[in-house]
Amino acid sequence: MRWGLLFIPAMVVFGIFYLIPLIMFVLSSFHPDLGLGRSGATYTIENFRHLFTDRFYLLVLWNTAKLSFYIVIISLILGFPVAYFLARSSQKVMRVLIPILVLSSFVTLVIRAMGWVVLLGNNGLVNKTLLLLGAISDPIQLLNHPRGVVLGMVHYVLPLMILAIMSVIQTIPRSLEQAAENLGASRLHVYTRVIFPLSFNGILATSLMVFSLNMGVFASPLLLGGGKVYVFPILIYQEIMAKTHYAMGAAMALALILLVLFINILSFAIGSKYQAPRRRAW
Amino acid sequence: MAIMVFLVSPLVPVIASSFSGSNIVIFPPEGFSLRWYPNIPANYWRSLGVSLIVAGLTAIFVCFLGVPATFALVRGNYPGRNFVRALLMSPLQVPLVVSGLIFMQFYFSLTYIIKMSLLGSLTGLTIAHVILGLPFMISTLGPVLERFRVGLEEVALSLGANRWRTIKRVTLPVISPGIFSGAMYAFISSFSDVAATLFLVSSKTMTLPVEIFYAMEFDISPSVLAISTLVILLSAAVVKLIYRFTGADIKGEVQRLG
Repeated sequence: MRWGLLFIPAMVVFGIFYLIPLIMFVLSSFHPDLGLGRSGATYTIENFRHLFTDRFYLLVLWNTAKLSFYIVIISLILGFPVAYFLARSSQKVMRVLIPILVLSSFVTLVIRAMGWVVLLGNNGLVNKTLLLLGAISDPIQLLNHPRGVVLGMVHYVLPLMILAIMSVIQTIPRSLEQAAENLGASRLHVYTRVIFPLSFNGILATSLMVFSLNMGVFASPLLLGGGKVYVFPILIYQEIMAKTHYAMGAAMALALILLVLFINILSFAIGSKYQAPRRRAW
Repeated sequence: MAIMVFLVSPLVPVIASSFSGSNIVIFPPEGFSLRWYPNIPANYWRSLGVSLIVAGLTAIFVCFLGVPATFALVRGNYPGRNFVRALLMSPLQVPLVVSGLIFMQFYFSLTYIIKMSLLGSLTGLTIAHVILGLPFMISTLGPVLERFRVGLEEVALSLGANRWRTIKRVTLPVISPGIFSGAMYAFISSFSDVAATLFLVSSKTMTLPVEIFYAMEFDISPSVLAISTLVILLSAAVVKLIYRFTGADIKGEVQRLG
C-alpha cells in the first residue's frame, strides 16, 4: 500500500502556499530597498551589512535575547515545582488541574493582555495591594515597562514549560527517588542529585524551545510594553509596515531565525556535555 | 499551587469587570450591571463571526489535509519522509509575525497574477491558518496513530473487507478522538491567532482578536470586556470538549503551545 501518496494534498498546499512564499521571502531579503516600498531587482547583501553594523538593531537584538533568557529562567523556577507536583499526582488530580492550565493558554493573548493591563496599571490591583501592605510607598511601574512584559510572557509560557517538564519527570521512575531516600538522601538531595540530572536534557530542550518562542513574540511586548519595550519582532514589524522597507524587514527576519537556530545548536552542543551518568548495572 | 492561581488571574479581571456598573475599567469593579452585554458594538459580533467561520473552515480543511498526511508520515516508508515531516511541521518553527509577513508578501504578489486579492479575504485567511494549524493535527494524531493496533485492520482484512472499507469502518472510528482533538487544536490556533492574522485582515474581513488588539490601542471600554468574557467561555467549552474525548493529552498540548 503506497501510503506515501496520501500526503500529496497537504504537500501541494504547503508547496504552493508556504514553501514558495518562504523562498520568495528569503530571496527578497537580498534585494535593495528603493524607498517608497519598492525593491530593486538586483542582488546585494546591503541589508545584512546594514543590520550588523547599525548599533540600534544590534542593541534591540541583544535586549530581546536578554529578555527571552530572563523569561526562561523565571518560568523554569516557577514551573519546575508545579511540573514535579503534577508528575507525581494521581490521574484524578491531573484531570482537574491540567484543563485549568490549558484554559488560560487557549484564550487569545490579547484578552489575557487586557486582563494584565487592568491588573498592572498604576491604579491596578497589584499596585493597590502592595501599597496597602506597605511594601512600597509609590506605585511601581509595571506596565509600559519590561517588568510587565516579563510577567505577561512568563504567564504565556508557563503552561508549556510545566507540561513539557511534567512529561519528562514522568519518565523518571519513582523507585529511583525511593531508592535514594532509602540510602539516606535528604529531600533536597533527591531533587538535585537524582531528578535534576536525569531530567536535564528534557529541561534543556524545553528551555530552548521557550527561548526560541520568546525571541519571536510580537503582540505581547507591544501590548504590555506600550510601545516602550522594543523587541526585535516589533522592529521587523515597523521596518515593514511603517518604513515599507520590505527587503530590510525580510533580512531582519531571516537573521532572527538564523540566530535562534544558531543559539539552539550551540546550547545543545554544550548541554549534552552534561549528561547524567548512564546506568551500568541493570 | 499559587502558580495555578496566577495562571488564571488575568482572566479574572476581564470576566469580573465586564459586569461592572461603572463606565471605567477598573478592578475590582464598582457596582454590578449587565448593561454592557446587550450593548456590544456590532463590529465585535461581526468579527466574532469571521473568526468562527475561519476557524471552523480551518479545522475542517486541516482534517482533510492532515489525516491523510499523518497516515503517510506514520505508515509510509519512502525516501524523503523526514523531509516531508520537517516541511509540514516547519510553521511551528517560524515566529508567527514572520509567517504573517511571508503570507502578506505572497498574497500581495499574487494579486497581479490572479485577478483577485487574497489579502483581507476569508480565503486567504483560511489558507494561512490551515498551514499554520496543520502541524497541530499531525503532532496530535501521529502518536494516536502510532499507538493504533494494526492487528485490528488485519482482522478486518482477513474477514474480507477491502482496504478502503477497513479504514472507514475500523481505523477511523478508533482514531477519531485523535482527529477530533487535532481539529480542535487547529480551531483554537486559528481563532486566537493575532500576530500572523494582523497582516492578513482588512476592514471588511476582521477577526475578533485583531479587533480587540486595535481596540486596546485606543480605549478599553467594558463592552470589549463583555465580548472577551464570551470568548473565554468559548475557549473553556473547547477545552471541555477536548478533554471529554481524549482525557489528559499531554503530548498534543506541548506541541500546541510551542
